[in-house]
Amino acid sequence: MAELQFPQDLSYSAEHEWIAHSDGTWTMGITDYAQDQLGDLVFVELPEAGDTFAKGDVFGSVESVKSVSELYCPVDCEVVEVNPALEDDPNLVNTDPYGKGWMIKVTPANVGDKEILLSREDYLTGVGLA
Amino acid sequence: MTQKLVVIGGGPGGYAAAVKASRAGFDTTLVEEAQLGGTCLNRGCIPSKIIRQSAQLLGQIKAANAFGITLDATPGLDMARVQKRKETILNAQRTGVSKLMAHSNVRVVQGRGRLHSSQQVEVVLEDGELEYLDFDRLILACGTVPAALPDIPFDGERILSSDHVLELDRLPASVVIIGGGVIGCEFAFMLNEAGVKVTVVEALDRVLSIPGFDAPGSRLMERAMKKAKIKCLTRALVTEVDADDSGCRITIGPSPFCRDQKKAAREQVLEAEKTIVVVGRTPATRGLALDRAGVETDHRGFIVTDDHLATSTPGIFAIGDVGGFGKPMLAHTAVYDARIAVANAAGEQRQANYDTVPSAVFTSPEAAWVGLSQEEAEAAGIQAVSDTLLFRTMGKVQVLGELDGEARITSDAVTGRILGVQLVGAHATELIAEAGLAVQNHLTIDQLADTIHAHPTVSEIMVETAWKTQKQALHA
Repeated sequence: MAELQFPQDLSYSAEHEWIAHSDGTWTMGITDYAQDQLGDLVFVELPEAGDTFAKGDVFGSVESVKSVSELYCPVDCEVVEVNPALEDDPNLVNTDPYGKGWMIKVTPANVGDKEILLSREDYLTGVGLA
Repeated sequence: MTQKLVVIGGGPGGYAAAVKASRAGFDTTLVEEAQLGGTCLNRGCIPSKIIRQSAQLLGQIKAANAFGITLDATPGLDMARVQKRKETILNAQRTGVSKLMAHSNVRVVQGRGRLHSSQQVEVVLEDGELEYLDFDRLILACGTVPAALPDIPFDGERILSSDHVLELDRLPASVVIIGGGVIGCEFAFMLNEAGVKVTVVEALDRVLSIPGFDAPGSRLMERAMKKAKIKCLTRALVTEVDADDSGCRITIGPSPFCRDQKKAAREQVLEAEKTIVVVGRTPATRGLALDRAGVETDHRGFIVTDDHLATSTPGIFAIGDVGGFGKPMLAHTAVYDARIAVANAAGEQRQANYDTVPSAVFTSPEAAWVGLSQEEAEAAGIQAVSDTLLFRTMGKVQVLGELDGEARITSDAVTGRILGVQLVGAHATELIAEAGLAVQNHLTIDQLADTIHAHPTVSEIMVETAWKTQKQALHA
């Protein structure tokens, strides 16, 4: 089995999201560990562009053959784009969690919130993989 | 001398009352202005399930590929033939009710019944003649009719009530359903499976925002809608429906009825071929001349009864939907009421109790519940625990390919007594009967856990959830 990947240049949340920062837009998805724990996804429920969320709000959910998990927003933000490919191919989250399996792009309410996110090391320590 | 009992309304409550009254020794007459069977048989439960059955079968056939079945042609739904099948089934059922009345020595008078006095009913017969029926006891079982929104009257063409939907002999390409309650949600899944583009607009924070059904259940239902590509707009209020030959334009805006105003819907205009308004039901008491007998109604027009189902006028009882806002408006409640009212008409002192009335919603997945939720139990001062289990943990659910759903059993934390069950998932409306038996008879988690359930069946969800409460789950 391939080793789970956790790119160094991303931020993470305790709820197993990864966050990529570029200009004022952040891209989010779930980590390789999360997709591995869930198993093959059969449905990804995502919000719509324009929806706003506060930190800790549920912004969607992922369903696999054996489980259902809510997705929690790591920061206050507004959704600007969702990944349309996941509607017909939720398995992209399993095969390419940090690439084609991205979920949403958001504008953070406060760019400084980057500081409340976890580094790769802190996330891995949190899930017991460090 | 034999006492005379008259029933106005031949729905499930009314005809059940007539049969029971006759068996109890009353000289019984049933007055019905339309067809026997009431809303349930003619414009509700049964016809909607017949159409749903066709729509569901179509949905299953479309999904055939996932089950290893090759289709050579694109399946379609011929509504005219669905309607024909519906009529055949309904006719057989109506004939059955009619024969039941004859065998039970119930005289059926076809016409519109209304009060003439506190001892006499006046019936406007089909030919316009009047017939007067004396009574010692009267049971009002007139039911309800679809409620319209104040500025959006039904026209039967573009703006439809549930009655109109069940008569469609051609499916529209798209609909907006105003109201995400039981009927709205059932229609949403039914029409979606039949191939109609569906949008649901609900003013409250969640769909199925009704007593006994909790927020996680609604969340599950909304997720199932999203999966089925049903658009669901909660916290949205319809302000205008502009309908003409080209279709409907439905203006929605933020709802003042939602808890979190920040999340209220944005203003937008939806377009659809037809608009369906399913925002509740209104009592069919207009024209009953209740005032002639001094029968009291509330401000909505529902007949006021005490818990013996007696109205403000001695000897007159009201059962089913017409007998009060707030009690479950369901066919099986009306049948239950019929037993209570007839017993009391015969001199008993039985009280109606709706604590264990099961509710069943025929969506995909289905939803059903009985008894108390944890929140309701705690509000009643009971220390309660709830345990949930995903339907997809059951082998049979995987076989069916219907993974959605969750079971929740609420029990007394001290005694283990089962207080309530909520099921969202495959066959939930059938499974709820076992839950009802448990709640009604004060069974405990241990008793449920010790009951052997056949494998592989969806019913195993009940015992597995009980095991979870015992901290003994096998598969969870």
